[in-house]
Amino acid sequence: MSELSEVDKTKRLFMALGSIIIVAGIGGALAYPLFQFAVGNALKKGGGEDEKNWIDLGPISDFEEGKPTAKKITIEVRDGWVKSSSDETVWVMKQGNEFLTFTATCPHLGCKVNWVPERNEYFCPCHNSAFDITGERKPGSASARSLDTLEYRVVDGKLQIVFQKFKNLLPTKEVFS
Amino acid sequence: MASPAIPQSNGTLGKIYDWIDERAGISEILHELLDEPIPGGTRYAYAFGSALLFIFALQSITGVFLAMYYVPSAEDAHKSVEYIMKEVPFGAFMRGMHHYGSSAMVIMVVLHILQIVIWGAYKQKRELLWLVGAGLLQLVLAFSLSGYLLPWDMKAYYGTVVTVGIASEVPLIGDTIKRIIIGGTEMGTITISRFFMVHVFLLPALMAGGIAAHLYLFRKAKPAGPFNMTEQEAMFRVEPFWPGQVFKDAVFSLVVFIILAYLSWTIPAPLEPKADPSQTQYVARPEWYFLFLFQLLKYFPGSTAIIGSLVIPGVVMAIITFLPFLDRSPERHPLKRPFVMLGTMGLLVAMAVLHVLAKRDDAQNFAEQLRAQEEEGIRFLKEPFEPKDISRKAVVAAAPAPEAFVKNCAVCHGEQGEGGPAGPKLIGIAKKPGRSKEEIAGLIENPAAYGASKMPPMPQVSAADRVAIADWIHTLK
Repeated sequence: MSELSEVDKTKRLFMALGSIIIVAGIGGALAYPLFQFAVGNALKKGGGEDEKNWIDLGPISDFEEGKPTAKKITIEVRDGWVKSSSDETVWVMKQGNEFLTFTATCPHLGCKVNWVPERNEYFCPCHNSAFDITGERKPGSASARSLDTLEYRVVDGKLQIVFQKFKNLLPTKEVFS
Repeated sequence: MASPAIPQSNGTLGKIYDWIDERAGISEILHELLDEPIPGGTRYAYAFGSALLFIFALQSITGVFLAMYYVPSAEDAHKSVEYIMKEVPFGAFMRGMHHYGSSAMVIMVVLHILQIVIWGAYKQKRELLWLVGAGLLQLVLAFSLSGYLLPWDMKAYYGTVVTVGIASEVPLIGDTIKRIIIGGTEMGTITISRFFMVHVFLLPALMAGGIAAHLYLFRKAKPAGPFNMTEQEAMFRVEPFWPGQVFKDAVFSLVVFIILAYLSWTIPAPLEPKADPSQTQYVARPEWYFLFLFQLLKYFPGSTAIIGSLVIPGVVMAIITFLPFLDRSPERHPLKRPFVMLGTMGLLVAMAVLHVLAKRDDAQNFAEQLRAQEEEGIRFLKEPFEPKDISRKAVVAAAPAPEAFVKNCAVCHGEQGEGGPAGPKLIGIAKKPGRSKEEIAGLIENPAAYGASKMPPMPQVSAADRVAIADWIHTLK
């Protein structure tokens, strides 16, 4: 390639910058829709359910005084284009006229806690979090807080709860969904 | 390496560049890529190949993102595409880009081939380059055919039924081929899964390899240059690829991008209701760029069908593929190659005529049904999105339709009240005003009195049956 004249140099610079601007422009124009598309409905708030969704756990006579009982519940979940059912476990213990109702989800990182009668504790096998019979966090647990309680009521002799999910790791209980 | 493509820069940036360059050899690659001399100078006429590469990149990007939501199964494919169109932010735009991009790809391939043919640029030891290009053309068509089925709507289903039917016309092994393509005797999840695998894994891999070979062979053969200059003249006016040709390619690609984005934004890619194999009124039509082939089929009835579907297209495709071996004279000027130019024009005219005939035939004989289908598709896209309900509650609620409904109503409204081209969907109708159980029972006897004048009155349905049907419709969710 021989020496370029000044005019040629300007022309080449214009075309070089023009090419780069066009490529960057197309990339930019695509990036925003692609990002929004990829995020999808992940950050969308649930339909603003003001009404509490009470789930039946059965007659209160099913629960023995002072003994943690596991109850399977079915919740409705919206999974993209599908409305389906999913099972969850809650722990229930009768204490006189009151009830202790916990979600089985460990507040640490979301594994499921099980009741271990021999040690008289709820135990999460993932990171050795332990909670006493009232759900109180035991010292040395990986979890920063005690088990998460669920709101309950008794209607016509039946125990009902509101199932919720809570944020992981935090020392205080905060609703996730 | 001194290259005019690479700006010389000093200071820290220059040092960083030099550091990387010494290790990665960027300058060398850039020199190889960008300083290619173009005999006779840069032109917009040479932009089609780059535009194809650009559209392929667009198709790859939009395709990968669409795959985030699309599920290849008979159960979910259609619903997931509907979800993309109606619920995902920029979903309709993304699918629009992919949909119109496929048309752009076909148009650009034709323009690219025409330019090469007019320029005589397949000559002088460019046979391999052309052969690989012919293979890429087949891949583009295969992309189009395999992608057409994936939304699993009426159009996709019946379009593919016809395509697969053509494959079964191959003598002796036709039925075997058909069964292998659809994965059995019924089109369903296995079929979609096969088409999906071909469309998103196999073809892109072949395409990437083909493009690499095509580009390599192109660089090896060097650009042919203008047909109306001698080689010496062309070498005298040589220009490097960068930045002149890159700029022209970029401008052309930008125009393509703007058109695609505009179309995607203003006219949503069509999506009809879910594939329904029992639908007898549906008029199946292929994508517009295959319409001429579709028309050709009509002239070969019965046992001669294979002539229109496989023999003629096969022969034409073979001639195109082996063009450099058939046209061996070194002459490149189009006016001095009457045989090839007339043949090309003849082929284009034949395709255009067949296309127009297909359109005219449709306008004369199927106008109403085709319009109804199109309106049905538009109505379907406007309908609010209803998630597919597979929760246990829904399973309990779904009682079988009463016998009287199956006998009298299902023909138009669908077996489960899901609707069809002749009758609207009944699911969710109970929520609308004027559609209480009593009103629905009354409507069945005298539709006009309840604002459903399109529906024929059903006096043959007994009063008890009317109540049963109305009750059942109210359970539909």
